[in-house]
Amino acid sequence: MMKQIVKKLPFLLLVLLHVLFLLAVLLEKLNFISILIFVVAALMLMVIAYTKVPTQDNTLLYKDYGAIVFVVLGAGLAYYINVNAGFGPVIATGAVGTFASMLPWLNRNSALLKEAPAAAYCGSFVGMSSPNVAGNMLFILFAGFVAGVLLVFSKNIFQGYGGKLGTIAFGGVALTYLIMFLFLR
Amino acid sequence: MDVIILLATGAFAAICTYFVNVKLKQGPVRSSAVLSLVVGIFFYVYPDLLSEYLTTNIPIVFTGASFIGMVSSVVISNYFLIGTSGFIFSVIYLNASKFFAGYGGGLGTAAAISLLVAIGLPFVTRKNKISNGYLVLRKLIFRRKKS
Repeated sequence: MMKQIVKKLPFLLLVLLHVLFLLAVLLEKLNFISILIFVVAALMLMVIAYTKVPTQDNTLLYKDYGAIVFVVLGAGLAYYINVNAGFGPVIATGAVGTFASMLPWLNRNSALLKEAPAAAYCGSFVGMSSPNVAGNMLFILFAGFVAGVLLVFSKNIFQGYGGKLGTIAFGGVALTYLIMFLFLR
Repeated sequence: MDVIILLATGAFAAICTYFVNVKLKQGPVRSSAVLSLVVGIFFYVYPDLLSEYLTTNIPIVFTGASFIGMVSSVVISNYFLIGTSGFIFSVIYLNASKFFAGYGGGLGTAAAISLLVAIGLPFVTRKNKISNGYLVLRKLIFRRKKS
């Protein structure tokens, strides 16, 4: 029973993030009937789509945990390009993603380098955060670590779905913000 | 007019990325990242080509919608649905909550929502599939109530 719950936890967390994101839109624009209809329709279609999402049953390997390092590195590098170098979030994520997509060429047999592009690109989304939210590099690195852990444990869900990496990055940033708000206020 | 341009940008970015990803076999990360980088650099080099609003928002919408195009051809292979998903992304972006403004991953979350909505669409629009979507929803709701 406990194993089942732990297995379903990443899926439920990603669903919760999607619903929270849409509810935030709804709560801010309650007066607009068209937005209300759009959000309710979107929620219903999402529920239908969730039932079609296949889950895999691959066991987690040590190399999967190595992805966390790439997520943290991607987050730090993207934040540096975004804020410190002043190029903005789009160039930051594009540059990190382009660079990361070439990493498997270094050693085509390396299973770890095969995971690097997606992991670093996921991290780069964390690094797209505004300095008003993130505050400093330490926040980004910690959020990158949280996103990395989420990425590892969501290995078997939403495989091949666009936006999965972004949702994980959003989860990392939101959870880090929540932790800081609760414990470091 | 600006809104129409952003809606079209969303649809175009999703389709373009999917084409580079699947047809040109460049993989999801490179297809999204390279296209975003090109668009980002273009508007960084030519900041006065369009209005300030479009110069700020087109690269962001393009990047966000390009995440949709990262989808695997196993999940979705219909260009019209991918374009629709990009369009829905732009609608969500234009109405996004200020509460989550500046949160990294917000664009990706909106992209995931748009893609899921597009995947759910055929179940309620296709002929003879209206009851299918309804049945899935009913099954989900009433199964919980019974248990």
